[in-house]
Amino acid sequence: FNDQAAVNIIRAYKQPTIERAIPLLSWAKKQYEQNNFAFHAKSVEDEVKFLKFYSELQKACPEISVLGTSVSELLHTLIVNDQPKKAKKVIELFNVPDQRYYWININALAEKGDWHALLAF
Amino acid sequence: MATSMIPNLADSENLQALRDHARSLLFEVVQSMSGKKVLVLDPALTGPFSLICEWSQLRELGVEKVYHLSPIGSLETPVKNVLYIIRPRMSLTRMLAQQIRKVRKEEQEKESRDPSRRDAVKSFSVFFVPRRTLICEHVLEECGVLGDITVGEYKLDLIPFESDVMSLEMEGVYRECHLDGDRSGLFYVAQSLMRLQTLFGVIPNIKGKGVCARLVADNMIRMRRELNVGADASIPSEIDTLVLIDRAVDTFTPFLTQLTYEGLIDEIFKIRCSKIDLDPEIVGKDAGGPKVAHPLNNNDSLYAEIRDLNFGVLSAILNARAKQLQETYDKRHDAKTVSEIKDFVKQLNTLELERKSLGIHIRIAEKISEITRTQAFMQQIRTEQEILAGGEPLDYIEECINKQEPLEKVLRLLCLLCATSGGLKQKHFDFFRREILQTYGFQQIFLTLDNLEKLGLLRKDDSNKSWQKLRKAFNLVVDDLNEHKPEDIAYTFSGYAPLSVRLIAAAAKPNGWRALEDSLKLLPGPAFEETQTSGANSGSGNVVRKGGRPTTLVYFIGGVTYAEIAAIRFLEKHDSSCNYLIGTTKIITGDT
Repeated sequence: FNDQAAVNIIRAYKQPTIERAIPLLSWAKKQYEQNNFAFHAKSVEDEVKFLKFYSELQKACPEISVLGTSVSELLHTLIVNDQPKKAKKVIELFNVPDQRYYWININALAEKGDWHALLAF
Repeated sequence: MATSMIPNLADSENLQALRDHARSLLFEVVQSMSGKKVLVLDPALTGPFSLICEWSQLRELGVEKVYHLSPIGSLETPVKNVLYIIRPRMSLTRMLAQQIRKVRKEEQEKESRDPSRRDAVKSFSVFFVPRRTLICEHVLEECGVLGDITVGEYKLDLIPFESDVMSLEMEGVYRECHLDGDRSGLFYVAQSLMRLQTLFGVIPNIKGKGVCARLVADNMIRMRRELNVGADASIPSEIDTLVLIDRAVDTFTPFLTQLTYEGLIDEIFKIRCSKIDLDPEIVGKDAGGPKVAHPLNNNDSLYAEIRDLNFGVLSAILNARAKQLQETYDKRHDAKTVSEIKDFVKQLNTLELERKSLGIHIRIAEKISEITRTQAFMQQIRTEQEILAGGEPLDYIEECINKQEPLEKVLRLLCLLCATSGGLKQKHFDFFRREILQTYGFQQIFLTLDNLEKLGLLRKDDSNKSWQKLRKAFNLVVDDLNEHKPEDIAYTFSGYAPLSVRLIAAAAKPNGWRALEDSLKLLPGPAFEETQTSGANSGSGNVVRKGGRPTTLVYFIGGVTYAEIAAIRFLEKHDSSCNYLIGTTKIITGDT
């Protein structure tokens, strides 16, 4: 059964658009839930949440191009692009632990060259 | 460069025979099409082929050009005959079927425009290595090209790398056997052993550890029964013992960073079929050009000497070598008589080669030490050793994730930790998985994590605390080690002795494995010993001894690391009673 879920996930990423990938992922999530794979189900759910957030972001500010597709990278890009509100939202949505946020923040601010903010932080 | 890519096997006639056989089969395949032709190769096969023959030899057989099979490129060549040689993988087969279809379609269009061009039709051959599979034929049929082409197989198995190392060069055997449940890899291993037995004679003793080892041995014994047993009795046995090691038995070693010279080169530059791609300035050409493929084998006498040394002692040796070389050069001033000068000129050629190779190795070593001197690398090694000692440096691993260090590094440390501590606590297990997913991206890594979990490499606490016992039983962690004058194989990892090689060393002793029975039980899979008799002259009395010592063939099912090879060579030199030959499905590092 787990393999079925895995197949759905692989298929999801072959879809051309996020909108078409999401139902497949949700389906995989249900399969994991049925088999009591709580962690897997939760991860897939998070991923769906992430993709939704990401596609909204693309609509709202198309000028931000996010390379890669991980939560950390998204956060990094948001900080570099002066979107502290959105960054905060990401942290809340995905429960990013403080330690990791610090690292990301430091790296992002350094990349931006925002030394004042870095000092203040 | 004068040195050949093909290793010199002068001291092993049988391996030479093995290579000659592979070569003549390849030539047969190439000659199965008459006239001029182009080759389209599976990229995974170019490396192995370059160890079998020179490209110039293929050119003599009418090969005009060699292409790589790739998903994008359509095939455009004026040559009429096209020969595909690939591994039997579905994706590759589909790719080539699409290429053929495209060509056919264009031909039809041209023909309808101009019927006189009929004879410009291309002909295609497809050869599968090492055998054609039903599934691939089915793919060809599905794509509607099967009836239209010639299909054959090229039975390539073990490829000699060195006079003591050979490999099947098949990727993913470990994964296929343990994750996908595809056992065809084991069949190929058994077949390659049969092939070796036709060259070296019947191997009287077989020992093995692990599920896959058992299956290979069964397969092999059955194959021999099916053949006429008496047929191979005429060849005296040159190999006394076969030791089969399933990679699943020792999952510790590959996750550690190898610290021999060759091991580090592989970790950093990735050795592919005894070759590495180097920046042009390292081999002494102008910078900025394309990467240069540089062969790494025993043809280079300096490399033969230093490849298995711990990296820590390397610089001193290279230094001494450089001085020595300089002195030899300086001797020319002392040469007074004509005959002395003559002697010197004779040496000049070898000296020049030596100087070149020394220069290259010094530059490679510099590159490596740039990396090994960094904080990050040293901390990684420290962490590995802490884990081996039974520590749980969770903070450091978390920090690695936070710093977005290479995923492979994080996974290697985590897997190593799971192997030694018997798994992570549920809380930590979930935490790390979540951190990894969020940092490296769900899409990229989710299924990999899932697979590692299925393989038991990444797992939560399951109260399997065998590591401490294993460590003691096999003396895996060796303190107070002298790296300059190593007395134990643990020098290959600066203090850790590869478990697999400890098993091999134990197998060489009489009663070796029986004495360790309890400890062997801690490792997965059965341990077994079998004997084979060779028809007419039974018994092991007829085993040919090379230099008074019996030869042991060690076969790693699922890959071997260079550091393990170094450790086995060390055994041969120092404390063991036999010569070793090494077989493997692939030479690996923890990243693969």
